[in-house]
Amino acid sequence: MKWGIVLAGAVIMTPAFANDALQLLARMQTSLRSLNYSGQLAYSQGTDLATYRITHQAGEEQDSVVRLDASESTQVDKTESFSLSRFDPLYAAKEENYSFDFGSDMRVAGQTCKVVVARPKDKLRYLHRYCINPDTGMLLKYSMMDRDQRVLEQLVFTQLSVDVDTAASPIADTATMVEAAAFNTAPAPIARMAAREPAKVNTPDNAKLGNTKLVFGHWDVSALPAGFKVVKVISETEEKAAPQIILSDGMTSVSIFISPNGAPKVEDNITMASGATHILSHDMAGHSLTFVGEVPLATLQAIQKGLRYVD
Amino acid sequence: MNTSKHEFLSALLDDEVGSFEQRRLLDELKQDHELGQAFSRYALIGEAMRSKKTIVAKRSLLDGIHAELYDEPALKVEPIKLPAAKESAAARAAVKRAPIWRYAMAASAVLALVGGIWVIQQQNNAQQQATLAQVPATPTVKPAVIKGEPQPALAASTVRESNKDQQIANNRLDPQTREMIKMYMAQHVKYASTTAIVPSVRAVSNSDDY
Repeated sequence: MKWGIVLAGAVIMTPAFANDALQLLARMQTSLRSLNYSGQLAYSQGTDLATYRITHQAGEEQDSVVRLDASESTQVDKTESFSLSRFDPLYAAKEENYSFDFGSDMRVAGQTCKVVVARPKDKLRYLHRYCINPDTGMLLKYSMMDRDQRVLEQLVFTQLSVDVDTAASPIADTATMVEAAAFNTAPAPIARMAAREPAKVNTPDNAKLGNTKLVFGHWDVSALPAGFKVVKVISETEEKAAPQIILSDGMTSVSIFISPNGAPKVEDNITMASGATHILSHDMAGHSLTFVGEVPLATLQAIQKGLRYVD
Repeated sequence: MNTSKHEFLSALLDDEVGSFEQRRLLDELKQDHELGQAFSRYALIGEAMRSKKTIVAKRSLLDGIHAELYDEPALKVEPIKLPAAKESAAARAAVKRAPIWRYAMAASAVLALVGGIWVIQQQNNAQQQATLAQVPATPTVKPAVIKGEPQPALAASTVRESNKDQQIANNRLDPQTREMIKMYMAQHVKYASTTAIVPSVRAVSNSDDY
């Protein structure tokens, strides 16, 4: 009887934990833009481990990342400013693809953080593990793991200072969770992104959105692997790259670059990997398609299999 | 205990980790008995390689080695054909000076180095096809034929059993492909990322990788 009560309690509590975990993740997204922070972190990708210094000023759209250690052949003081404005909010995955829960509290870089785990429900994606300071919403540690619990990518702050006054702003209320379904049925979110997206993003005129088919240009992307949806289409970028279709499952994303016949192209049938990031190239209907994403290779292949060229 | 921990341990013994990582590993060594055992083994191996003296291992270490050998799958070893009698004496002497296993070990080491993190695959792989067949996709869509099978990624579990003979190192990419992949990676990080801090660091890291 006692165990029955405990189990029933656990079942009832689970959705609440998942919601809290999603809330904390959403808060983290907005905090990263609204906080003043400066610190050093260690970042590993595959077998590579390096340290970086990162600085961000509240209100600024860019943060600065400097690699602190490097081989003699690479530039030690390499600095890159990176725009945070281009990050889109996580859309509510609604536990369709992942189960969300809290882990134990940890101390990272002298600060307490709460572990949030996004555990995939199938083999198409990786496990994401965050450790977030619940007071500031600052991400202190992040790792991505495969099904064998091997860490593919990891980031951990070793030293961090956060401007607490700025953190006191009501960021929690501004956390945004976009409904994924909206991307599937109407182009409105795509148009909304275009307003703040320097690159040219597809509008309803460019994308034919039918009841069951999702066609961009000549490419039918209706048959995507479970949980993936088109969230953005960029037809022209500052860097003059090939048109880019961006898919997401709410936690991670995949880009499809479509290089038309005659344009510079990537060699056919190449696969590459670094940490959690995989790359796959495939020629199709006179186009060179390149898939890039932080997902298992089989997922990229499944996406490629589902693509169709429509005359 | 995963591979990266072993690598960190090895780096710790070689004094190649920073102070933070040192502290973290030492703290972990205090608590993780298995990690401590691995550390002892690495230290012993290093000492043996440096001193060339006979190192008497503890009983537990030998037990561990025996246990691991017992668990290892049996390898099918093809007998090495001895050189024919009519081959020259010089050739036989050369073989004697440099046994085949040395070549094999050297070749393996070179392959491992050249392979690095980035690996390319261009040939068919039936096992991967089987994995793909399990991936849910809309059944009405006729799947495209995959000419070349990926093999993957050193890090991906789905592709670990790749055919090493088919792996091509990153430095064999043509310059145009290399440039385009670099640009695509940057584009992906800029426009398709979902969590702020990680991609900004990832972007800087990737810019050093190519």
